[in-house]
Amino acid sequence: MQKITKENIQDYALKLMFKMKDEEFDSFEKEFVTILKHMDLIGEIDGIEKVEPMIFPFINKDAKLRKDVATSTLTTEDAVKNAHETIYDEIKVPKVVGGEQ
Amino acid sequence: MYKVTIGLEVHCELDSNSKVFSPSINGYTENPNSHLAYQDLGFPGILPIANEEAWKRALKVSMAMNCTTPDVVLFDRKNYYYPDLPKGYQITQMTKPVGINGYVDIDVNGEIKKVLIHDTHLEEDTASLDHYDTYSLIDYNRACVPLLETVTEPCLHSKEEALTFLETYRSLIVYCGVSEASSVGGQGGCGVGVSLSVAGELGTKVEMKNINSFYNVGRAIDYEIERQTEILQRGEKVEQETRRFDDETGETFKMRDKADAVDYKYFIEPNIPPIKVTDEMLDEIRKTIPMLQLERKQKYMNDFGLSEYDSEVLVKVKENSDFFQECVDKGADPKKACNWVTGMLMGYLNENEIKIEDIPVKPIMIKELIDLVDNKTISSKQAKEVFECMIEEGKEPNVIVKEKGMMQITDDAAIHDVVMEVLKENDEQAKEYNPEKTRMIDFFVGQVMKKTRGKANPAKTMEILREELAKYNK
Repeated sequence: MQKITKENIQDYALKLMFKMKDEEFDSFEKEFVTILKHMDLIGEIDGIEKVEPMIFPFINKDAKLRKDVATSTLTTEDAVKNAHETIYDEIKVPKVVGGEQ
Repeated sequence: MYKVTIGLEVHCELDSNSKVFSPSINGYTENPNSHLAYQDLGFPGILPIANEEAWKRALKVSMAMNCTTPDVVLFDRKNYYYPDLPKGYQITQMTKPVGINGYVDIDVNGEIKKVLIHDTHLEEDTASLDHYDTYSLIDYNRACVPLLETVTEPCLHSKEEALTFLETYRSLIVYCGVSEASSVGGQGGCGVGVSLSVAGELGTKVEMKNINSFYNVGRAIDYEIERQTEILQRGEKVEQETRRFDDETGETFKMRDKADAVDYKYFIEPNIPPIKVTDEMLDEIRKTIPMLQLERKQKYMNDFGLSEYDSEVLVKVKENSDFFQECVDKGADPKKACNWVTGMLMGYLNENEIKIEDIPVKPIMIKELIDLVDNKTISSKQAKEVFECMIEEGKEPNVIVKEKGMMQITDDAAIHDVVMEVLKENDEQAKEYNPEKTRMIDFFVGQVMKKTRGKANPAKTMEILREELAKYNK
């Protein structure tokens, strides 16, 4: 199993936009050692590689897709109620350019 | 020379009444933030419920592309933060997409090529953002609109192949009736990966995202091939990176390299329980997949003996192709039906900028019109007049012919009487008749037509005239 280093944690923290103190990185690193030890133990179970990861405990036979019927449940007024500022019903935010899908 | 390898990603918004994970309206409006439900804004406690119709439409495209379909409906979360994504994650598919390992046949200058499909997956669209000098504005109407993303394997080897695939994919979407042509490659656009390789060694992939038109996909490919060729010719290495295409300059610019790759921390969407995809559902959808453009073109050429050009004209718009096929199904000769549909009918549609469904002419009427000419009730010239009347008034050809008294005189005795009358009245010319002078016979035909108001069958008239003129001078 991959070893989690302090550098890894720093990288994840940056990507997740978490501001962390140096000592927090140290404690995380120690916690990960324990977690990974447990993972290794599970990995030692015979035939584990053939077991499919469990996503949900079972498939709920009553679960259904929604019929394609449109209903607008929010008025524009309600939709923009929490916005600090709107211009012609659009929500104004600090300038952001870029992004992706 | 270097070998070019291209992979494509193409987005397409699907038509439906409501959005993919919320019940708000999926449709165009000029009023910002007016087609919304709580799910679209990522309110706390919301539960997304997948739209059955959007799912079925996505499955239809997947099956039309010969993909393997999943055994359960399952979605994943793609986590990233951006103001157009109110939940902080996009519900998409990665674990079990709606289709994997498919293929689409494309026709590149008469050669059929299989384009391999890596996967096609259903996801939600993001909100739209407008950028101004110092601020941005968000309209959430587009958030949660069903979006289908199809990803090819890197198996295309020229700009032409890439663009042919995109056009073929667009026609597949339209033929399947799941979206408008303008939606393909529209919102979310196309992603293009280009690499150049030498002597079988795989090159380094450079990706470009969010290219907003097929035309610009072509420009981006051209630019990247040229840029990467120059780098390799200098003996340098192409860097693995994501670049942005600028449609004003036609150039690409570095956005981020491999080291900056975003980690989306995908995991299965826990709020949408998996739902079994039944065989009944698959069978039901399979029945609705029509014969696609390329297959129809090949059928017209091989089975009906139509030219490549005519076949292409017929399949360009599905409704026109359906109309033509119905003419044939009703018993019309394919070549004759093709002549009417691609000639007079499409000419009329183009001239008036209307669609085939906007005119009162039905396929059975074309079949009847062809029959009227075939059984010599009317001449080809008269058939054009009948057609014009059909398209303007929507009447059946038989009715028009009767109303206008256009029935040809095909009765030998009746034509014979008129011929004799004409010869008698033009005794001098008849005596001077010389079978080698074609103009003379035309004169007599003209006289017969004048007397019958164009209703005498021209071939029969000619035949009787020749016989009688030959006897006349004996």
